[in-house]
Amino acid sequence: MSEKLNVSWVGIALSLIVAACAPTADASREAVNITLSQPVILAGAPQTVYLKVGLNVERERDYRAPVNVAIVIDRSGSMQGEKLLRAKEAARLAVNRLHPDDIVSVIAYDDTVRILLPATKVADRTSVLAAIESLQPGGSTALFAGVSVGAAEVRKFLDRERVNRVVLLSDGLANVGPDSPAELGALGASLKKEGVAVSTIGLGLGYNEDLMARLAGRSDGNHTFVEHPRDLARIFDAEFGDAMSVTAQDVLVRIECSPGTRPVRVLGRDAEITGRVVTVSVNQLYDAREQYILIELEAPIGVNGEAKRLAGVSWSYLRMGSTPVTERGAQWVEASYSGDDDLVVASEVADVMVAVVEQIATEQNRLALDLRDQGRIEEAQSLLIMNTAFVKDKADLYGSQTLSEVAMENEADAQNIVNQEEWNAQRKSMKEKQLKRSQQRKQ
Amino acid sequence: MSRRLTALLVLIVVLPTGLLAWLAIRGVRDERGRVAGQLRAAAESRLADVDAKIQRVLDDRARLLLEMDVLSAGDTDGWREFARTTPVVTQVAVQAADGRLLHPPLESGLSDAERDFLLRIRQILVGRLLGSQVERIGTVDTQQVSPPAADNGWYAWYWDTGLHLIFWRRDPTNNLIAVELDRVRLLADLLVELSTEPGGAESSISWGRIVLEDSQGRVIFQSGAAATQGTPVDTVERRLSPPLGAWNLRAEYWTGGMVGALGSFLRVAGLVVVAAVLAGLAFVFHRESSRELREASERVGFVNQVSHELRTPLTNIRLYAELLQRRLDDGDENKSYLDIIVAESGRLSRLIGNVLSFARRNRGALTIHPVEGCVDDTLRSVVDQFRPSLEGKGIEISLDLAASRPFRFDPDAVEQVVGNLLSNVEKYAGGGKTVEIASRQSGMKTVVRVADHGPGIPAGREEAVFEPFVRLSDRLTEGVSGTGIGLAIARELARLHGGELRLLATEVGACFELELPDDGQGGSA
Repeated sequence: MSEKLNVSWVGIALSLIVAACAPTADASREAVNITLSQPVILAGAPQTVYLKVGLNVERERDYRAPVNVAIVIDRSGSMQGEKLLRAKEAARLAVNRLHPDDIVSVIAYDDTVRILLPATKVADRTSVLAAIESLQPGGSTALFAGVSVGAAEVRKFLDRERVNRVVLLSDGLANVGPDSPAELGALGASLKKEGVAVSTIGLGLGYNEDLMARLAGRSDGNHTFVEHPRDLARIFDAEFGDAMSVTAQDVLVRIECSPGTRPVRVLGRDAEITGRVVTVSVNQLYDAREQYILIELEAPIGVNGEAKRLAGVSWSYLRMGSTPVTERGAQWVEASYSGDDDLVVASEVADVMVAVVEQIATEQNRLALDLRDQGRIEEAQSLLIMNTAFVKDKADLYGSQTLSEVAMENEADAQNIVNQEEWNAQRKSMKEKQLKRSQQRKQ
Repeated sequence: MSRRLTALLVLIVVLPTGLLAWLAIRGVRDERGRVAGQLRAAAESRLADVDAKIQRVLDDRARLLLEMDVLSAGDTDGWREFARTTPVVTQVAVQAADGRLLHPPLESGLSDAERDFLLRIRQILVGRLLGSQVERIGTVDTQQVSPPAADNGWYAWYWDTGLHLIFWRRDPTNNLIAVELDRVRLLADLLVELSTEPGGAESSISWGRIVLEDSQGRVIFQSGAAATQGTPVDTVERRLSPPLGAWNLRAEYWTGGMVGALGSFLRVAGLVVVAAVLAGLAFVFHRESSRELREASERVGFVNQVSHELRTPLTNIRLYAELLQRRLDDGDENKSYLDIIVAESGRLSRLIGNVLSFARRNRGALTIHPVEGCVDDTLRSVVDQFRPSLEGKGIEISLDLAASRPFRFDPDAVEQVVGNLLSNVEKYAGGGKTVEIASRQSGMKTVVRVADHGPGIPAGREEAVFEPFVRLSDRLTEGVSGTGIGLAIARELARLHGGELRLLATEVGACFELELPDDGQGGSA
């Protein structure tokens, strides 16, 4: 009884939303692509299918969303010398790319945190550059405090119409204040609620990649492993370029499964699953780079020739532009049932399957890293070899360039994971790639 | 004499310097104590500030949660969105007055996070602890909001990584809304609040640092710099006010600050200056006084040099004068001139004798040559020598000699001793009318006394007269010349006999007593 009521309520709500969004419906439909891995499902038994929600909001012509960035730089003793010089140079170059309307703050931390430049418009570029220049190496690594203060500076001008971001550069282990990946991850999650992303740049071989990756991952920021300080300029440039190419923020996707359909999990990212409802939030979308979400569903048993609505997907996001607009949309996900195996296989959508394989391969890669952490090196290696074979196979099947790359990465990992001397760098590199892959952003 | 003076001068320098040093050290200690007290008070008030600041953050948070729109208890989607979009909050639970759980909805599927949340607050919900055993913040301004103040509060409890806070309130239908604060986010916001206070982290660098630790002793926050190695550090601790009473706030501040060091330096410098000035004064004084001694000593030294040359002609003069004296009749007018020549040459030879003795004494070569004899004979001979000059000054000589038993002594030495005593009488006791010379023998000793009725020796100087070159520098010595070594030599000679020369206490004048052992052994090498 209550289920029926619920379904009808969803139907009404969806149709209302679609109707309300009618004028911009075209734009929305282009921006959000909802695809099932197999639109045709084998009848007669429960089946696992994947639902892909692809988000791709184009940039408004000649418009770039203003950014609000806190540059947080580790100035602990270990940063002394080339690292700090390169960091300054990188920050200087990055700031030079900003527009007068952008907001920037510069924070340095060692045992304690210093705000070298409170959040301010870049219009006064000289004082920004002077603040960067005043960086001096100091003592320990109060990373948590550094990020907290950086976020507080961003918060001063927190605006949904700006790209709000903390860029953290650190080369060491957090050793003052909260220091566990879980705690930094929680901080990232809390900041994501406000629309603040934390991008973490790990420099050298001394930082904690679990912590840095978790902080970036849970706040929807980027994580980069920079082995040599000379690459900092390039990485800062990429990071600022990334922030400047944001086209939408505050993305919320809600998938409400029909009765009988069960949401099993969301691949590779944080999500909230309550009963039949899946809620996923994404901090920002980038220009010309599709961002997608993959949900594993258990479809109900159907009979040959039957069509079913598996789920209703609704979304909202803030489109950045000269006049920012909150876009909303909704769509049913339908599948037909067939007793013909060939038909089912033929219906497979390669794009979705490639994404699924990429995520599964990333999960396996994570598993291999865990094994390696436990000292089970050979098991880790054989897992990676199997993973490589699996991905190669799928790459051939779907003719996917992405999967070929994933296979090559896993193959390289399988070789490098046994190298004791290079393990530190290898682990950092694996963590970086795992996060990039699981962030499900097409390049 | 010189050694005593030196010791005195050293004392004059050391005593005040030591006293000043003691005072200075006490002063430094007192000031240290005072400064330490001030530092402590400052640190404590700082900690109180930090505590108040943390309370303000919590109050703000409480206010935010009180002012939020009250959703209906069953609005599951609403509560979920609230938890999803409120950065400071992780989860929310709503419990009906009868204890039933209204949110999260157990019957219609929970997210993993909601399930974890219910598991960790199960005891609180089942025990219905919210609203009863709570630690309350007294400062929340609740006048603007509808539920009365008694209907909200904090609840602190522990799980996993430490202390967590729940803010609870009752909605109008008496449902209990429990909002779990994001622990990490609370930490982050506290950090920002504490480290961006105006001049906060910066100014605390100059005096120490503040450390905030959670219930497990992990450092949550610190501001200021750690003390460098070797810097004395004191600490003050404070528990935070509820509900974060399990957190510990500590100030570590330096006690050996710049002020104390400067103060100590100034004091030490002052002491050095005072000691230097005193030592300089002492040196000048010492040099002045020792110059007198040196000059007198040099004078004796010179006389000593010439004495050897003078003695032979002087002896001849005395000899022939005495021969001549015997040839002349008593009535002869020239005899009185001759008496003067004899007396003066006797005086001169005593003088020379003293000088030579003193020189020997200084070389450690003063000796006596005891022979068997009668001391009374020697006394008579000496008195005869002095008779003319004493009588010339109107001093009557009274002899009372009773030491006729012979014993071994050096007659020349005794003559020199008694001669020096009588010479003093002649010089100083001119107004005394009589001089009494007495000798006694009893048991194993012979005693000779010479007593005058002159001005005597001032009290307190009884021993000083025996020091070489000491002349009682008052009117007594005016117009009287001398070497200042007579009594010193006399005592030395007495002691060489194994006896003593001492000044006896008398009411009038001076009375010297020469004591000689007469066991026949009186002599030395």
